[in-house]
Amino acid sequence: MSYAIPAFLPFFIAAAIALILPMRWRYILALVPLINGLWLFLSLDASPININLHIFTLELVKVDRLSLLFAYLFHIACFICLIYAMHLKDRLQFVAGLAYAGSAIGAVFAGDFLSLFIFWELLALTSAFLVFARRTKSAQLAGIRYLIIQILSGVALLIAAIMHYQSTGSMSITHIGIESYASYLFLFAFGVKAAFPFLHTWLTDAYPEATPVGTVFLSAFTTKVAIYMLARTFQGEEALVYIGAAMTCFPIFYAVIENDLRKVLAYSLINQLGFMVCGIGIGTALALNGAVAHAFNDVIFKGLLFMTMGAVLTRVGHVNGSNLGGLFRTMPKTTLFCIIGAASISAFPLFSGFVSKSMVMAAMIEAGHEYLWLMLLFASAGVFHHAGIKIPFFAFFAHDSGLRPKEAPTNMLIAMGIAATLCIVIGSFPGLLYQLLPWENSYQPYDLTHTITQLQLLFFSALAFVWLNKQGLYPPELKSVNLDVEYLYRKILPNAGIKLFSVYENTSKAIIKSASSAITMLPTKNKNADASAATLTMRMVVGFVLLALVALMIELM
Amino acid sequence: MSSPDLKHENPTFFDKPQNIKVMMICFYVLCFLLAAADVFIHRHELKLIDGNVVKIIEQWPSFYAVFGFVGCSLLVFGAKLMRLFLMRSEHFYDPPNESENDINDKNTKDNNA
Repeated sequence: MSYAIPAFLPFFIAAAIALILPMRWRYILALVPLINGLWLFLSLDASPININLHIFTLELVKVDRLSLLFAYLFHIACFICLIYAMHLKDRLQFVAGLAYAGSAIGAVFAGDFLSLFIFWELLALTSAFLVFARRTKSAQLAGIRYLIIQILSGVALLIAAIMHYQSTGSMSITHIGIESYASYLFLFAFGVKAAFPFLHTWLTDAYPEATPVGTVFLSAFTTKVAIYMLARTFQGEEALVYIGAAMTCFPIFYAVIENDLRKVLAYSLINQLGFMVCGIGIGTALALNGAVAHAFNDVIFKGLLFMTMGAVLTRVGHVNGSNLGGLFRTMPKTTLFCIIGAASISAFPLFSGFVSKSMVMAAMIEAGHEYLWLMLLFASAGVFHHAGIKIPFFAFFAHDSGLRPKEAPTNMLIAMGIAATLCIVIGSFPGLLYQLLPWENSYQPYDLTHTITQLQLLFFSALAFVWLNKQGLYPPELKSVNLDVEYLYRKILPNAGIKLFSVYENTSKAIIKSASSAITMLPTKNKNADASAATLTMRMVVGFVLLALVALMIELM
Repeated sequence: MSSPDLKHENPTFFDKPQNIKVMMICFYVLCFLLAAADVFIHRHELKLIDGNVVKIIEQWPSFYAVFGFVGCSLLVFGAKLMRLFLMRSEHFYDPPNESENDINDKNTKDNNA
């Protein structure tokens, strides 16, 4: 049975149906990614679909192993997210979530930049509603900021695509490489969505503000579409190795001192993206497979961690590390799932992170970047420190906060259970994932050296945590805001604007004031005014001076 | 969530200090065994040219253990240092009266309210 429809279409249709569907039938929506995904998987291929549009041919569906892998991933993610959302009766989140997943699938199958642009902007638009759906003032503001930055990325993509078309005469998505102005713009457009350093604050700003369900959706799609595009167009670009290495290291410092645990996960998401960007930058088959496999695993384990924090948010009402602790008593299942997610992101042997992160690390050494490899090793230890220990420890253990929330709703537990099972299955049987990878290679994650060294790294990172905690050196969880690049556009720019505007206002006021006082100084001649000799003389003098000035100006010209 | 009766709860596994103590001792023993494992097994060398600094130090016994411990400690001290000049009040960007003005928070409930 061949797959001959655009893969995104069922999602858009489902989103449209969800608009009017009685909410008690919302359960059938979860069948959409399940059936569509199975159909796509079993038919092994999808027929290309082209639309002729005046002189352009839009390649709406173009399939290869890379796009298929991401499509499978997005189907799994959407399925898990929808199950996680089933306790809600909020129509907005179902519609936005389905349309968002559909846009992501559309984007990975797009064969030309124009189709990509459409889905790229749809990604921005639909996902913003998952932030707005929180329905708080701060979420609204964060959603607007998110939308502005995402649309900016789309505009950059469109301009880059037009420039690319002018110079090459082709719109189809192929390797670009950093060489022309258009390529810089492409890199900027993809870089915004992939949360490159200095372009990353939309992520840490909006993700913690979205609804519990919304953040799980958000963490799965936008950044991974960007990773997919980078893997297609900028593979093997040296610059990406350095950008990626920076991305792995700087967020972990923020993650250690951040109080909002979903924001900790947002920073840790940038750190994981760093590993993928490194892999793309190295550009060997092993590195690219590593990047793609890590994207696959990251969607599942980061989704799992966001789901556990979403469950806490749903039950407690906040996820501030400073006010949590001891939740394992009443939320034992969520605690277990959180620990599985934490073990996966920390790359413990037998968990999914182990089998994909190590591919990028091995490729880094093969490419001869030994110092960057040390950076990645540091980042690996740091991930365990902030995501692997901090998240479960401060939320579910630590001091007893006295909170006794109910266990997460059953549908959430099912969704977390599916994700946790996938983490363990992929980690224990990596062949299942490796056979889907687009490039040829024969990497073996499990050997004695690798397993022992990874365990040493992780156990002694944990030992450092224990030691620092016992010594009272570990930074306490504090309610605070830590300045990041967003300081530029949330404080400096607005303040500078306000200053500039007040200067402008003051100057214009002063000019108007002096002009009007100059006008009042001019003697007036009303009908009833008493024209004395003095005013007459004054007028004549003013008249002469004006005439003289005019004459002088004419002379000079 | 009405105020929970904390005093009459059954103590869980993690509430008993002796359990925590046993767990921690197991953890320390595991750490020691892992660090000592380097004496008994021969690790593969990194695929780098001979004489490379990283290749040499990577072969030091317990390199990964020391790297993990020192790396994480530096991470925490660095982060604490960052707090000195990056930390601002919780309401730095949004004044409190504005950020707490929830329009209609259906999906999250605030037990403090």
